Amino acid sequence: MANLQGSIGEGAVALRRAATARDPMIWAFLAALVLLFWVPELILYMGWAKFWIQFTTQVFIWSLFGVSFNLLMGYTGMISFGQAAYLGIGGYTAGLLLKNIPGLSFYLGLAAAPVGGALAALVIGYFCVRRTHIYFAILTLAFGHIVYLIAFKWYGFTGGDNGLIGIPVPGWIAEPTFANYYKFVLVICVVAIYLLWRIVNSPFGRALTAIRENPERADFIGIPVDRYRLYAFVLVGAFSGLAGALIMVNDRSVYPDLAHWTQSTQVLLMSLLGGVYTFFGPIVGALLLRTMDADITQNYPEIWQLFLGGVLVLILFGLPGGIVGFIQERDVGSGDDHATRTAKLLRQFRRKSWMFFGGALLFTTFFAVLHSPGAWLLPRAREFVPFSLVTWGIVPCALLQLVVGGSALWWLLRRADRFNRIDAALLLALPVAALVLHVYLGTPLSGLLIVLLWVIFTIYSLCQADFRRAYRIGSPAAGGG
Amino acid sequence: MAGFTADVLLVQFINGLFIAAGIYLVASGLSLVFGVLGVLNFAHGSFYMYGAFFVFTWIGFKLGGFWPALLIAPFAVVIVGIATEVVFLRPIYKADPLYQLLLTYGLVLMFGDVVKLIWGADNQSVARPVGLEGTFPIFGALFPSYQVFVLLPIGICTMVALYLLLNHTQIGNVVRAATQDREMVGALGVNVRLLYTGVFAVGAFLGGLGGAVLAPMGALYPGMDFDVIIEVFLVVVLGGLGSMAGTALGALIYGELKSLGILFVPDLESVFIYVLMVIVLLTRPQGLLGKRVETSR
Amino acid sequence: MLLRVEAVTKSFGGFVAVRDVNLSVERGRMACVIGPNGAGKSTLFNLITGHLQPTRGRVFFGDRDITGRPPHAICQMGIGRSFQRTNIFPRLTVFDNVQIAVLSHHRRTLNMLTPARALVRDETMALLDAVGLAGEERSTSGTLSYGLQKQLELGIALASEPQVLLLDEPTAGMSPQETADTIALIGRIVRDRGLTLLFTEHDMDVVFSIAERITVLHQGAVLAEGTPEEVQRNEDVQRIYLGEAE
Repeated sequence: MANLQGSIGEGAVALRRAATARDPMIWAFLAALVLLFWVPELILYMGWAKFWIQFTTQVFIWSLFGVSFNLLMGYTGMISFGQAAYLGIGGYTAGLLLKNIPGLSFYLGLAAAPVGGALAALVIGYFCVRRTHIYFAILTLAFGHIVYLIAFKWYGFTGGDNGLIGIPVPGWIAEPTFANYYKFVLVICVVAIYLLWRIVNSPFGRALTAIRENPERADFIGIPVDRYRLYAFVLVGAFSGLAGALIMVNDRSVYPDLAHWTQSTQVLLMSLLGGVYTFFGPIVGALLLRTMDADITQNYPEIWQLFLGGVLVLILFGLPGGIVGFIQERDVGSGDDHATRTAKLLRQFRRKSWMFFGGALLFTTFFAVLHSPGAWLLPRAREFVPFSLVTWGIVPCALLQLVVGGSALWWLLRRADRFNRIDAALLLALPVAALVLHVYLGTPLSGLLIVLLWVIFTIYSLCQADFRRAYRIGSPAAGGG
Repeated sequence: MAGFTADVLLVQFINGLFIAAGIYLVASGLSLVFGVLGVLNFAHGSFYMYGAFFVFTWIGFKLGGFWPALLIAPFAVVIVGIATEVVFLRPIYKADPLYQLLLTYGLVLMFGDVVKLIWGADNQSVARPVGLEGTFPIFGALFPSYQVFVLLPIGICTMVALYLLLNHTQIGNVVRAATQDREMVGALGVNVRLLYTGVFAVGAFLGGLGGAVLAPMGALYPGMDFDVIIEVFLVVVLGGLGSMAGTALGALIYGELKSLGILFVPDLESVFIYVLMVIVLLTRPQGLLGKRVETSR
Repeated sequence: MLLRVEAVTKSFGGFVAVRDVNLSVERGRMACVIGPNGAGKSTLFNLITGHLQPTRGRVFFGDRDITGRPPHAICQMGIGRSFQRTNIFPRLTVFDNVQIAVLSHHRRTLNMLTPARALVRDETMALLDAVGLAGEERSTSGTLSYGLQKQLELGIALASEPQVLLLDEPTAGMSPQETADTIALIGRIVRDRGLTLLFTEHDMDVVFSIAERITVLHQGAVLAEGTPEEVQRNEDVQRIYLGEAE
């Protein structure tokens, strides 16, 4: 009896602990929500284009899509090449319901999208998850394609390539600044991404990671691998469906393009670019890719896929962990002593700083050329404007940066093993100066983001405990590399 | 459903053979490369597209028209293929198969836009060679002469040639051994690098040949690479990845299903092949003639 | 008899890897399967743990017929196993490696919302302590030395609180010192927890130092079976082991 009472008490405690389980990340999510909530007001107040409100909304939706996709790709190790199918199914589910059932609550129609995505993922996933790697890739691609074909060809139901247009949305969403819709999407995405955060850090998430690392072993610690793969696939299908419905509401229409394979490519690249082994990587990836999309397709829509393919190949050869992985990665052995760790960290810091410097220079130049193609070598404008790319030509300007910035970086990094606070401040000042310069020069946003990532990388590195210790203790005698 | 005479079925059957021959040309290259290199080459569809566009360009040169192009285009694709293998694939053979998959996928994106840059985003077309524009009667029904005298013979010849090459030559023995056990071939003293490049070149040739042969039969457009690679994937999943006989069987089933299916459900004839694929996956996951892999998942 | 293999045969196409093998292990015993390379030891293990399906024959655990059950079900019944090639989750930390096994054993892996960080902490640490990995819990498991990875694997296998432990060449590739340590560790764990042990091994010193029953496989079939002394005296066994360069 006492035993029984004891176990009930224990169970109650466990339940309460589960319900209130402390997760400090919730504060970060709430902070992000509060900070981002007023961005539309800021944009309107500053007099920037309304486009940016819609643009940021898109970034949120794609972040949700990317983070959920990465639950499959990064956490479970299943690369789906047809994930846009669930985006499309979500969009069409909500769109068809709202259009064909007059008086249906908007929220109910929206809530149907994840259900539709999950059901489709259940059926398709049932056939796909039992085969891994190559077969999984082929099957997801093939099934994704048939979803597209159905949307494209079945005029009676989906409207074919005419799409579904004029889908009714509540008046408060349809207001002209899009600020309300921005807030609506922001709240949904923050909540959904937080839910995904809880999932990847739960025992279930750990089980998925175990499956990624070693399916055979996972099976023999008692995890039914195929079933868990299916669960993950269905979950991700639901979140993808939700993202699809949000895109549908944004456009108030759905076209088969939403389910097209090019969309699957984009989400794949967001994960890879941001970093597949990190939770927040796909958000960085979504921001970068959306920005690059805006910058490139403005003048050269025909090279967008070429650019994506190039980025994919570059990531595979140069940045296997994506950008966030690249910033975080620390190649330090567990058995190393303090001196070895310091030396390794400094070496990595030097290498990464150079890569960021080179990457920033390359991308700012690339996007500047795209932006004003005529001014790449020689000045285009007749009038003389000091410190303007248009006056000096983009490439000469880049060469100047290479020489000046490169020497400064070389000088700072050379001193990195007998560092003091002033050196650290200068080291941070360099990318900040680059950022200010490029804001001044009017470099397209994509280029600025790369420089911004360099700044973030530098701050992140300088804040690391190991690194701080390294430069405070570092004596002239110990240096010499 | 009912009411189709034997005549109609026969006509559609022969049309199915034409479809099968075309898709076999493309799929055999993909299957061969997968069997030996273990790389699923997404960019195989791009080779097909390049084959077709090279024919288009050659005809524009007015140097003998279609027939020389039929030979030159595949060899031009071979050059692209070898460059691809040496530059991109060679460094990552030892990496995770998923990396190879993603890499060839990246190549699809790049190759696709290069086509748009060179040939433009509009549809192009290649005229049928002189003398083969018309039709030819078989069993009283009329069939396009080009399909009867070019497509089908080339498809069959390729199949026979591949069979002879793989089963009755020294090189074929090595290639088949490599399909069985990739590590072993290296131990036998075969130059694996050369073997891989060679097989990849043959695969690219078959893809390019497929594109060249099919060029006069439909529009040439950016995006045809993706359309064909999906069909090729269906064929190899049906037949069994890496099995050459399976690819032939898969192509035959694919062609016949597509051509006979159109009688019953026009518009959605491509759904049949998916239904069949699902059935095959449930009963024989390794494909109709694929090797059964027991221990590894 | 806790584990019983009855007349099991496994053929791959025409090749018979395991031919009509009978094997039984009593509760609490330490039994060993030896035999030259390719004798079918690993295949036999895979047949017991459900990674392969026998062509003929049955496998019993206690009085339950487990033939043809999937590996995860067999693991949940109480058979733990290590693999010949080191089989861990290389990019996870040592702690996470064992924790996920413990969570799975308690059937808690369907929990999608509780942060895993704080769960089953004590049990995981106790297991790490038992296999000599206390203090390494935050290292990435793939960066550990070979010997430590084998210890970690043992910890993962123990997490499911097995009654039978199947170890496939637990000391393969180890230095003499590592081998001695590992064997001592295995012996201690098996005795402390009252486990039943079935293992394969190349190193005859190891075999004769801890095995209580030995089964000799040759070309897929049982050549001899008995106590270490009986096996040592067996002429067929001597012929095979002397005839082959070990």
